[in-house]
Amino acid sequence: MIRKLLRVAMIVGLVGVVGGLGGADVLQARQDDKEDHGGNQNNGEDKLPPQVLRSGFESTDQLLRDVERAETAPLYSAWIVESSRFMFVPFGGFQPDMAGLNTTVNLPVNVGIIEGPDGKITLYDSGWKQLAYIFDWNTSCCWKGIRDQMHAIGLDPDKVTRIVLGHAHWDHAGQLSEFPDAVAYIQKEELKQIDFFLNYPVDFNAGHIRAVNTVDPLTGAQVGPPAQACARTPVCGYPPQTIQEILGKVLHGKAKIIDGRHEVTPGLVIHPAFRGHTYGSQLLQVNTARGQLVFGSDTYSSWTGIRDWLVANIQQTDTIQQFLAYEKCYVLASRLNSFNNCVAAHEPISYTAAYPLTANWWNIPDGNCSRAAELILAPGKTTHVPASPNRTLCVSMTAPPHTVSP
Amino acid sequence: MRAMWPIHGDVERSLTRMSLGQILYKTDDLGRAELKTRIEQALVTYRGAETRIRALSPPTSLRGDHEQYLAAVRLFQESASEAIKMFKDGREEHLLAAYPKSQEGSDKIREVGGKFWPNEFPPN
Repeated sequence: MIRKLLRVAMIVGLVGVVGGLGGADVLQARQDDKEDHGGNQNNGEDKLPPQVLRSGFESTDQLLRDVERAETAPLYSAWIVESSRFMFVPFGGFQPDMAGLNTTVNLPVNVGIIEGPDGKITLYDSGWKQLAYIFDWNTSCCWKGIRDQMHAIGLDPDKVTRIVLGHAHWDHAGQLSEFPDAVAYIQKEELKQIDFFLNYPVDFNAGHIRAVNTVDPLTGAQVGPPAQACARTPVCGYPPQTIQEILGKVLHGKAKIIDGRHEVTPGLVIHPAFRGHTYGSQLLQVNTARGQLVFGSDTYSSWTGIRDWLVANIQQTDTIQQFLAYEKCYVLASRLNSFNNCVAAHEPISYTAAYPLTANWWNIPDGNCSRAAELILAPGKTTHVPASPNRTLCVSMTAPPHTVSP
Repeated sequence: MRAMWPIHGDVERSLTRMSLGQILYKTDDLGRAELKTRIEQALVTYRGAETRIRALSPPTSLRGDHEQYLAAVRLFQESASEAIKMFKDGREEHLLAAYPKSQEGSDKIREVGGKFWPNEFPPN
């Protein structure tokens, strides 16, 4: 009897081992993906490519559906204006692949102006505010307040009802308070990022990596830039002044803190580009007569970078995520004009024929050498480009009044 | 300027934590108690910063900036003191009332900061 029982037990054990090797206990990649990315199953995406972040993921099908939906929406007009211009930036610092050229470039800071059929205007980014910093202590050119720029190109700043912040760095989120009635759109991911790194643990880096400034890793003494500039540390681009601008919007009930994709209104869709430049970067898809324009702020710092598949302006960037964000533009603009419809924030050849989307440009009258470009008009709209546009490139380092008295 | 740097760092971090705390409180991502702690900590930092700044003897050429920074730190204290009232009477309007002072103060320290540490926030 005991022998019989042992034999049965052996057979059961063997079956169990064999079954374990070839059956349900074997880890199936597909099952694992389903567990990890279950939220995407309903979208037909039961297996994500390994390089994507779950947070902010949008499948190609989802993006194409947004194109289809947008194409039934109203057509928008769009311009960019140059909030200011960084001068003499080492090309390799901006685009590592260009380091070998050993030259400098001038980088505009482009702000998008998008006008809907109802005349309401959406800004994409809001430019610089830090005037003393710009003019007295930095090699910068051409600053002009956005409200003045809009007046000068025939647009009414009082019609601005929304401001979509591509990201919240100081050179892109600086003039929010100039538009007290406009609603600002910002990703929660962006705010959480800043907050996380403000409390970044310093136990293992002696405070060398910090949010706002740094300490000397050898002496432990806090020192100032340039020796310990925080250029590449995670929260360096957010001076308190910029956070105050955002706080003002929140406290006045004029902020929408969003989480991922968001349709602002038909024809205007926000797409997350998390870690494409900062953690909470976001794109803006705009339905126009030349197809879908995709504004990218610093995720799309360089248009040639998108065209030629090169990273640019690496800050808190995961370079793979930047490429994936480039890909979103390729998908969204796939029906018309492709990468030519990607709108870059710092492209050095902006306002030239070499960046065709921006070729219809002119110097903003009394604009301190800042430039504007008409990207596209909705049918029936009249051009804002002057009959004889001034297209002589100029540089002005003249500071507007900016003294703050105690 | 070198003596101001660590003070500036403390002030900036506290101000940013306090501001973000208010934002995240309004989005329900931070509790009331945590916000209170942040504001109280910031107030301590601002008070300490004022004492430290007063103890400095700036050269004549920097006296104006010294005064400006002091004024900013006082504004931050007033702002925090106003905000903290919310935890006594429960009225969130105090955050709104506190805001203009912190905004003005942040403009001031950006002016002085830009002059003292021009590369603090490099191109982004």
